Amino acid sequence: MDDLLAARLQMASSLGFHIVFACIGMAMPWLMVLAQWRWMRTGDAVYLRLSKAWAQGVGVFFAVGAVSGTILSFELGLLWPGFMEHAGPIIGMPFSLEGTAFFIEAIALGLFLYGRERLAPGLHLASGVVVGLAGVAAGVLVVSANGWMNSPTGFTYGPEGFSDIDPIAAMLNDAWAVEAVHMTLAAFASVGFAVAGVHAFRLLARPKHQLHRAGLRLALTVGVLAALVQPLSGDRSAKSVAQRQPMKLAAMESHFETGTEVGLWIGGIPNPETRTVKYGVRIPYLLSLLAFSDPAAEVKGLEEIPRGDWPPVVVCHLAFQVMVGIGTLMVGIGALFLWLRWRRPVLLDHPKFLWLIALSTPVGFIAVEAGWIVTEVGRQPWIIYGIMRTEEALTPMPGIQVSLAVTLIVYGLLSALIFGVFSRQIAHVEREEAEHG
Amino acid sequence: MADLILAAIGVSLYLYMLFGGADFGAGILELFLGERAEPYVDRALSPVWETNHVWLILAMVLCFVGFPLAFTTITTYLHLPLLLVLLGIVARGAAFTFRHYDPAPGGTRVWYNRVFRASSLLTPFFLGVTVAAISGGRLNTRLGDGFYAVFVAPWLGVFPVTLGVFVCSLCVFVATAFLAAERGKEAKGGLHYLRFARRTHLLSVVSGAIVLVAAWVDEAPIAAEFLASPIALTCAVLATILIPLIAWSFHEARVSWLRVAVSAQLALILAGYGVTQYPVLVRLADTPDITVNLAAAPQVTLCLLAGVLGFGLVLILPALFLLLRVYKLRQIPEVSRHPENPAPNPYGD
Repeated sequence: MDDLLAARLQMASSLGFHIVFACIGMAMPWLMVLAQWRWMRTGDAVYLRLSKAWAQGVGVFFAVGAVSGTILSFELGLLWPGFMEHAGPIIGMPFSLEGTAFFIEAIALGLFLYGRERLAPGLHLASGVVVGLAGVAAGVLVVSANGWMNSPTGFTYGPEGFSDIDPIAAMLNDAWAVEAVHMTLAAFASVGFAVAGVHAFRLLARPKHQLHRAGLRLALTVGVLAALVQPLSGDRSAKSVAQRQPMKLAAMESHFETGTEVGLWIGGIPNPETRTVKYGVRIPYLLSLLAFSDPAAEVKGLEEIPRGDWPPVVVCHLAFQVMVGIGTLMVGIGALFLWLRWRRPVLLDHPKFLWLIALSTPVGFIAVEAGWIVTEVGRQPWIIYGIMRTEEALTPMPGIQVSLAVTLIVYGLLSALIFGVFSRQIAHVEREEAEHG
Repeated sequence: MADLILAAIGVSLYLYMLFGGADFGAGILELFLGERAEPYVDRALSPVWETNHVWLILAMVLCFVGFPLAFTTITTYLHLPLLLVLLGIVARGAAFTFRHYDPAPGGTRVWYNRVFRASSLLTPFFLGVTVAAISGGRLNTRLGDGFYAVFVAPWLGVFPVTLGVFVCSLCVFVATAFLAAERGKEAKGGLHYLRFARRTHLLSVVSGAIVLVAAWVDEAPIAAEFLASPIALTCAVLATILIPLIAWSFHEARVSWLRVAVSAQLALILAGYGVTQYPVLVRLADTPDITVNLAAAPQVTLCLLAGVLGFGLVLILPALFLLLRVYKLRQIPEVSRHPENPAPNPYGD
């Protein structure tokens, strides 16, 4: 493995680890606030206990997210100094604003977690809302920096390097809005499903447990609403990518030859050497239609650029299929949930339904990971699309394989520990519930 | 404008040394005091600990947006000590979080403690090593010289190591002084903290003196420039004058004086360092040093950055004030009434 691949894998594992906590940081505070609010409205004490239990989750995941976010801000400099030297002044706005949002999130979370008995109820709830707002703002701002890497604007690039820098234009790049909406919805969908899934698991062990029933319904409602809207945002994202990064779209869809009236692959394993796709189903006209709203539209294929400049086709294609497949599955589960809630609420406690939700715990996060693989791998070989190649940004420091190995060990340990702490937190909450009767 | 951003970096590093340093020091303190210190450390840190490390992130963001060349030079050629700092921050943050949130840690608690304490010592040590290497004038940017000469030798020297030790002892001193300030008025146990703080003060004064000697021995340019700069010398003199004042505060148990004097002494040490360095950001061995003018981002970036900073301060300062007020001020009497209070139960009751 060469240094470039090791550095890319290290960055990928760090982003892949952090994104889970970033999603939780964006969406989980809102669940905690919703439960608190329902308690204040209805006086039903189970929602107070639910809010307290979720707040503990927010606390531990926020703290780990702060740590993994620190890792990322170090790694940007440790692995990609060539990128940071030029990109820092251009995309500094979203980073510094994100720092502000993160700071406010930390303070508000401190107030919410420890202020239950010390603050007036309204102020306490408001501090929770601020946690949620700042969490979403921080996520959306970081996405702006990624949007810029995919759709770089706000500078002139010539032989002398970057000039005429306009950080505001860079922040408001073309990719930002679509990426930010897609990411925010993904956070709410994945966290809603994951939280509901954990409660479903516990309900299978302890049927009709009050807290878990309330938790499952509230979290799944939030997750389902986000999952149902997500396809619209996905469609906008695909059209945006078709405009800005046609070769990323071509890699996602294993579309090798430029043509009109192009079909869409569902599933399949591409072979970039023979330029074919095996085991897939092709729906005629659909890619042209989805990308350009016209079944006859021309879609550029990978043949337009030299073979060496292709993004890794297999990875992009498979990741994209996984993301879309899971998204569709989540829409299906969402429709089922809403229908059951409306017509057959008693079936919401049926073990088969609980099993379905329990097994869906990780699916949202898998889709989020797959989506980020599409975004990041699909941008290769560029770190700043069309401007700077990833290898140009790499540190001259040798032996990145070692730091990759250390990074992987650290993430493995952290994951195991988080799992342990999290299980014990749930057991603790259940013990307290039992005491409440 | 570049100077304003630089000043902001200095202030956030100062706040990091003060609050984050107290965090590290508390962990090092546990190394010495063991289980006895733990409830107080946990109690003193828990509600605000997440915010303390944000100061380092803030300094880093200001640096890579405002002075990208300085940032990338540091991250490239001091990759290894920074990686160790990072590992320390990760291990420490994780261990502290799990220790705090784990409702039934059982046997893992021993490991949380060990990792927390060890990383509390290693992180500030390598931060000190990194800072020394940045100003030591040994950074070698000729990649052809080989791995050891470029990536190891510049930070593996007498001056960096002594500065690392000095930073650690400062952390312990700040932590013990703050703990003593909080608990010094107690009849029982308070004197213990005051005595301990006095000893750590002596430790930091001695290790600070050793740093100056080491810089001179190591021929770090900072030693000569320190002596040549009147402002830096004034800072040093003022910091020295504070030593007897702090000693007096210990003796008389004047805890509010102690708090102010310790904060001021730390500020003077950092200001003296900054003034000596200015306008150099990173000292290199052969090539010209990286100065403020060389590294500064375009004016428009710096102005916007200053704008964001001002906007952020308007939002953050009142919130931070509220947080500190709600917790620090109301919590301490509660602890004092129950000196044998166990670690707080984050789950409420």
